Amino acid sequence: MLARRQFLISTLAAAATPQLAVGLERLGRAETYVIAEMCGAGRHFAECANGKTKPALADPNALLFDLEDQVSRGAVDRIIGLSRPSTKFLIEQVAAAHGFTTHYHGSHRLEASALRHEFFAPPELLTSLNTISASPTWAGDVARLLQHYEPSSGTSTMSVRRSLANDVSQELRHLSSFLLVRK
Amino acid sequence: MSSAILPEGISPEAFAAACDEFRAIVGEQWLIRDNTAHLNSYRDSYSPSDIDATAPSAAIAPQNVEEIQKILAVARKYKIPLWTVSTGRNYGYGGAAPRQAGCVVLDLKRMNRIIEVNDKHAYAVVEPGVSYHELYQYLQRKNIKLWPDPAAPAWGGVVGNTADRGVGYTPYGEHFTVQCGMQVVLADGTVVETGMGANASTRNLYKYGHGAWVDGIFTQSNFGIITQMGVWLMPEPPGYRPYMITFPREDDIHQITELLRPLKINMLIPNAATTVGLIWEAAVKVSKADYYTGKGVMPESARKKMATDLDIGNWNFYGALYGPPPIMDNNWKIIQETFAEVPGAKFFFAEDRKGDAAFDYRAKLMQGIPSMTEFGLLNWLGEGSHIDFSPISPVTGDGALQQFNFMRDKCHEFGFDYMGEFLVGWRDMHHVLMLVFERNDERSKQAVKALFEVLVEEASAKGYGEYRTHLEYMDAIAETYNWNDRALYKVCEALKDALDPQGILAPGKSGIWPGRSRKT
Repeated sequence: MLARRQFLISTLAAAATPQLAVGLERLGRAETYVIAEMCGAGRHFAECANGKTKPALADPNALLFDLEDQVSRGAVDRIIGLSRPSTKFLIEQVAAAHGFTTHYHGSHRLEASALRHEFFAPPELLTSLNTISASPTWAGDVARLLQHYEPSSGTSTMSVRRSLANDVSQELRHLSSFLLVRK
Repeated sequence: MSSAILPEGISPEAFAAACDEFRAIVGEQWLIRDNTAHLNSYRDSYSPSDIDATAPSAAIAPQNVEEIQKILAVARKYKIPLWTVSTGRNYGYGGAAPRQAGCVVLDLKRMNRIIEVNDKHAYAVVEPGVSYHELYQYLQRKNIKLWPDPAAPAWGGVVGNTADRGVGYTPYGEHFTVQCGMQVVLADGTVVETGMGANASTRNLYKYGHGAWVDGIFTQSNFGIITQMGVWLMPEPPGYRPYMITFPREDDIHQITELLRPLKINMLIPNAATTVGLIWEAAVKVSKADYYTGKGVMPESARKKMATDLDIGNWNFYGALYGPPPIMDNNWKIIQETFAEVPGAKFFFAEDRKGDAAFDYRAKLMQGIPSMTEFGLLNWLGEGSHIDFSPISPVTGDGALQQFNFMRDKCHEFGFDYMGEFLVGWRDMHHVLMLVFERNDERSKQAVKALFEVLVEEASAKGYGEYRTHLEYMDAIAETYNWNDRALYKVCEALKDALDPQGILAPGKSGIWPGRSRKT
């Protein structure tokens, strides 16, 4: 049974952040920071991670400084997200300086009108990802999975699984999903 | 688990002892050695090469000058090389990674005080850990009507960017020109105040003081650690109007530049304006695959469609008007009449480009508002990284066109799109070529390395000098500045030997090596 979730919007980020939804959610022991691009898939991701969204421009400035503040204060132990690849990279740089590692990442790319997923994860997470349906709800499915996944202790080897979904559209050609955990 | 990387020539036992002494200075939390994830944040995340080649052995983050002096004493004792960074996030040139594997990164992020903002004389004095974002937020909070001049990424360090002679986009865009006074800690721990000196009321008003002016030797070098810097700030003008002019043909760069030169020299265009190439302009908003999913260079047909859809040109000039409306109106009349000589030129103001992310971020930068939008360019290829090749170009049509043709052709030869812009200064242009490659694709990484090496060699043969470069190419670029049997670098080496005889500060920075590591 999950503890009651408290979802907070970082007002600074929400007021000024470009196409990104930011949420701070308490889940049991962990504080989870939720990031989602402002597109259809991102909104669905945020909804299923209990996120609230606000559309804006493609400038992650306010988000990154807010994230840095949260991780440096120890308020956040995990970060999940669905964003453009450049934003994921920046988030990883901010988080790495505070001891976070990328425990999972996924690539969701439109190729010749088919959506290709590549999941890079430890085997136990890949098994669950295998059940992700190749449908418009994939983003929400990933969000729910990452929300509840508890990484095992120690270093896990990343494996990769690919799947292809036809007839699934996506506003942004390439999105990246990710889970960062503080060791 | 500790990193296995050690400074060159240092035994594990000696390094462990040094780390113990470092730890005693800054505390357990601020010596990063055992936390692999944290230490990895000091690697070159964008590198197309072996990431271990520039990996640090540890990082240490002092909070003041006294701690730096103690760290230097330990470094001298054990001969540990230190690599200084302010915010260390210019990934296109190597980020926080050292030039030489095994260095201890001296991370000055904790020294993040804004020491003074003087609104009467329009300057700020900051420590190295202050980012453009933080300075901007400070000015906003205090309602101080002064503008910073940010580099494109907001998290860049004011001191670090200026010390690397980086540039911005407002009339204060030549960052080192608007620097005034600095505090430097030398390798022997001596604290030096340059210019008018620490106690002078004119410390940050007059750059040169008396006698030899030494500030320049601490830029793009390894002669000292800058711990404070004065920077002039632009007073908020009574009016601000950004504009964009698009030009349809690649060859237009010739006429654009010839028309631009007198406007810049006479300061009718006072800011560091930019002439942005098609791909760079488009990549803020779209990815390559939106228009072309084949291999190699985007064909002209696809580029034309992209330009039409986005209503942009092969060149897109961004400038801004500053001042009271009558002055802005008068200057605009001259600027518009001048550039209207280029057939097909189109003129836009902000109201004409609503919702245009590219226009918005340029308008912000020219107004001193930091942003992180420019990182979005890397989505051009999906999981993109970049290294930059940045020669200086004269402000002549022939010079600009020749340099553009050369760099475009070389990019195409190696399968890369030309993604470049000319940043226009008072007497020069910084021609920044952003080489975007696929971070996780070995072929792409090898190709960009091969291209970069060819660019270095052939640009040098043509007499083009780079203004700044990535860690991996610092030696190669240094070798191109070899007039009169490397006279310039012999001066640098003499300074290095005098100021840092043990070679503990940033060995290899800009191709300046301490004596014991010198290859020539």
